[in-house]
Amino acid sequence: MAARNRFADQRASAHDRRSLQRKVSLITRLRFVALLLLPGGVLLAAAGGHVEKSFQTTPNPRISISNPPGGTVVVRGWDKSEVHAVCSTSSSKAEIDVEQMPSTGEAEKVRFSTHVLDPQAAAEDKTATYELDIPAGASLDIYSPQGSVSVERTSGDDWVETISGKVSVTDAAGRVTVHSLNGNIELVRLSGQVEAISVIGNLQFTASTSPRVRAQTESGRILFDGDFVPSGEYILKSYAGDMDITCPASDSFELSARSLHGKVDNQVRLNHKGHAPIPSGSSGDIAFGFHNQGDATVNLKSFSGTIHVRPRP
Amino acid sequence: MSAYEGEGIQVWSSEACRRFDLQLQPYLEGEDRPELIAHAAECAFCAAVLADLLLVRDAASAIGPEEPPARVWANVRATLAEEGLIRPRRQPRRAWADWFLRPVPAAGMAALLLLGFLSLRTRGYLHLHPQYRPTPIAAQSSDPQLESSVAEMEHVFQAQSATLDPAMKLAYEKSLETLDSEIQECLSSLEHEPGDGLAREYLASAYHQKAQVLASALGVDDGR
Repeated sequence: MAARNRFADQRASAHDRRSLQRKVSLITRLRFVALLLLPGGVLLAAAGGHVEKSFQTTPNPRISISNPPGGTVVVRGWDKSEVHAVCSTSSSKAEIDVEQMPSTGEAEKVRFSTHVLDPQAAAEDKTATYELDIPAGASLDIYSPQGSVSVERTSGDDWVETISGKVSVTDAAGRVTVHSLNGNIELVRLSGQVEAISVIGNLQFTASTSPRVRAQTESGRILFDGDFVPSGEYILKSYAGDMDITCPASDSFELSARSLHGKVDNQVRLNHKGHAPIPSGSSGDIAFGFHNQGDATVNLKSFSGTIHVRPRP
Repeated sequence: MSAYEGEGIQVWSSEACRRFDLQLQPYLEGEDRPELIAHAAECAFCAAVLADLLLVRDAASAIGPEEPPARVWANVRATLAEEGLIRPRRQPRRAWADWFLRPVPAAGMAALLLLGFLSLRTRGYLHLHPQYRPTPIAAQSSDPQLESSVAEMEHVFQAQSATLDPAMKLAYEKSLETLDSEIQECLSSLEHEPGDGLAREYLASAYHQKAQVLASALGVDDGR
């Protein structure tokens, strides 16, 4: 009797196991089908750890990174049609999702995003860091309000937005747009169109050869060291911060510099080609005229800051 | 409280969000809707929607009347004639066609677009991504509607700021403080020299920047 009961128990247990196996198999298949049905597959979800992953892409994919909780983002362009990502979260209270579109073959879009799993967690437990190598021709969209962002060697369009993080873009040839509320923006050896806007942060351009620059900060400083390329347009505007502009003496540009309540300290030689040295109806301190042939247009404005314009020694 | 779930799927998770959506259009047309403001102060998603729409409204009102090129009217006229909706020019035109063929001010068109946008959104066809970033608006001059929108957004921001991450809250407050002081200085400068174009330009720019900062603060997705 006891043996029969044991046998019955074993049969029941085997039945349960088979049933469980069938259920697991069904769930696995359903998950696989669900993955196929997603417009782009969710390829990776990392929580509280370190993940390294590579994706084959087109030569000019669109890469976006959304990292609201903060942490550093480093992106470098390379000559492969491949994205190599090393991402990590500071704890299991945050996770990183990576989505590739299309889900198979060469990706046209790759999207990285950090999600907070426990909103009550301490700020330092919700952060994530990203280190990416991407095709140089990729276009890039980074939203990282609280962390620093560094982008190097890209030739596609770059868009970076932060609230308090520092942003640095180096050796970029495409159009670069950087908006940061309080963070400093550093732009080194850029050769494409640039827009840099901050409220409090400083804007620093080094060895710029951009043909078109629009820069604006309210209380930060603007430091521009670079070439004013012929037919280029440069609009630099600060409210209270000072501006330091340095360019080669051989550059050719038309300068209009005006500070309403501050000073304009111009050390480049200007001629006026028959125009009045100061436009009529203008108040404040002004420098206006042509340097060499006046090929590029340089417009500098400040409300109360001092504008320095100097030739590079 | 969120009225947004997943990518591309809109669900009303609260009755308050649904009522907010119904009240949006009258509110943007100038009606007093305290319930809407109160809800926006509690619901981050609806606050972001409100901030975005206030910016859209201000951008639309800033567009001046513009006469489209003559060829546009010629093409419109030709298409309408071809479809039999109007008769050839020698025939007297119907009153509605007359109206249709008149140049429509761009602001009016923008208002129509805004209404269309609202209507689509109300029906759930359009979403505003929580990280939607409106394009900066070219600042030409300050206008009272923008100032009042900024004041409304600030009111919502103040009601919601307690729920922000402390570091983010500090960052936003610092920026807003800078812009407020800029606005005050520009106003005072304009008091002494009302005709100064540069001071006016800085004033308008400060208001636009403030609107952008508030929109960012109200729409920020910091994982809350």
